[in-house]
Amino acid sequence: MAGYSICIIGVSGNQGTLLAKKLGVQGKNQLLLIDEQTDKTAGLIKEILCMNPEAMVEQLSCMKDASWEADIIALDIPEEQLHVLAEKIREVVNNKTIIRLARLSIGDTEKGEQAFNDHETENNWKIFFPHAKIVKVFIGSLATYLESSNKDALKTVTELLTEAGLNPYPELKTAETINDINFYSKQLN
Amino acid sequence: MFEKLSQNIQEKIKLTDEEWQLCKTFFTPKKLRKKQFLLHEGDPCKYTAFIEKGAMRSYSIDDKGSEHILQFALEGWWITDLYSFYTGEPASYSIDALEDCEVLLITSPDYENMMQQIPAMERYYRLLLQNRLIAMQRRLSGNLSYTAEQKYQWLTQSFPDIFQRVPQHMVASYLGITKETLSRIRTRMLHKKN
Repeated sequence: MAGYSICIIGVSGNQGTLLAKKLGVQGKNQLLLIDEQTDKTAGLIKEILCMNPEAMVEQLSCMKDASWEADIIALDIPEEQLHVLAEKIREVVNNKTIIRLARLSIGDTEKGEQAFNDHETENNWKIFFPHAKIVKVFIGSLATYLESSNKDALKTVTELLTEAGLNPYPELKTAETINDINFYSKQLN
Repeated sequence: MFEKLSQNIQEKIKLTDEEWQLCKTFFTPKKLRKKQFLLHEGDPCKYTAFIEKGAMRSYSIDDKGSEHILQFALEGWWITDLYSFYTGEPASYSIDALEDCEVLLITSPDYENMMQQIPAMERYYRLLLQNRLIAMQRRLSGNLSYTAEQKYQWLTQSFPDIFQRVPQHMVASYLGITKETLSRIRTRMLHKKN
């Protein structure tokens, strides 16, 4: 089966960078990378191409065009920028899978799992992207954690992350998961 | 983004504003670059595509590596592997973009949902399938009984700007003739005109 076209917006964030590297090295999918820090993005592309010269990766500047072209859109952006981004891309992400990369900031360090399970934020995403299939993803130190109310999208992203060697782990409520998320968020501090 | 689809639907049926807004939610907008595949032969065909901008083709490749083009589709046309789309079986055709394209995709479950929620769309699809059946019947009978020259004339009437948008070898493949034969026919027709 042919690969996906995946747009990652916010590749200067640690989760976005990690996802881009893993998918780039795996090389099956076309990657469209976007970030305000264009030099950093260009550097990341060089790094990916060093690891896999066959990687299909490029830097784009228009979020709408990149999201329009993509089958899957991964977003590593601060929550406060969400409404601005949503205005730009909402109409082109209808029925597409959006990977919401969970951002754990320094303020979340004591309770990483609470940040991950923030339902208020989750509702905002549903309001901003009413016809998209949202999958929340957190790439931890032991595994990658996923959550979604859409089973098909969850399956698609699980397969994608498995192929990229990210060890997806869709069970969120276990002690290991919570410990890992907390461990990771403490490292951020 | 939905201009051609809206126009195409309105030519056949009437939808209320509410129905049209609902209708749009079933489609996935997608940009394809020239030569990019929408479907690879052997994969299940997940989508039917409506072309808002650009040109596409569906084709198969035989054991000798020759391409056989089944369909060209331009703005306002639909393209899919019907059998694979409805059955989930592997596709017999590949579909790719001949130009940079903007398409609207719909899956089989969404298609069924749309019919249930907007009954007027049943009529639209019935008319669409009816037209498609007629076109296929004409193409089949043309292939069986037309001379190469008649096939060429039929094509230029159906797609007046086809030679501006599609390479000559693809047109020849669509007509089931060699590109040398096509070139001879074109020269002959040009002389007749003059």
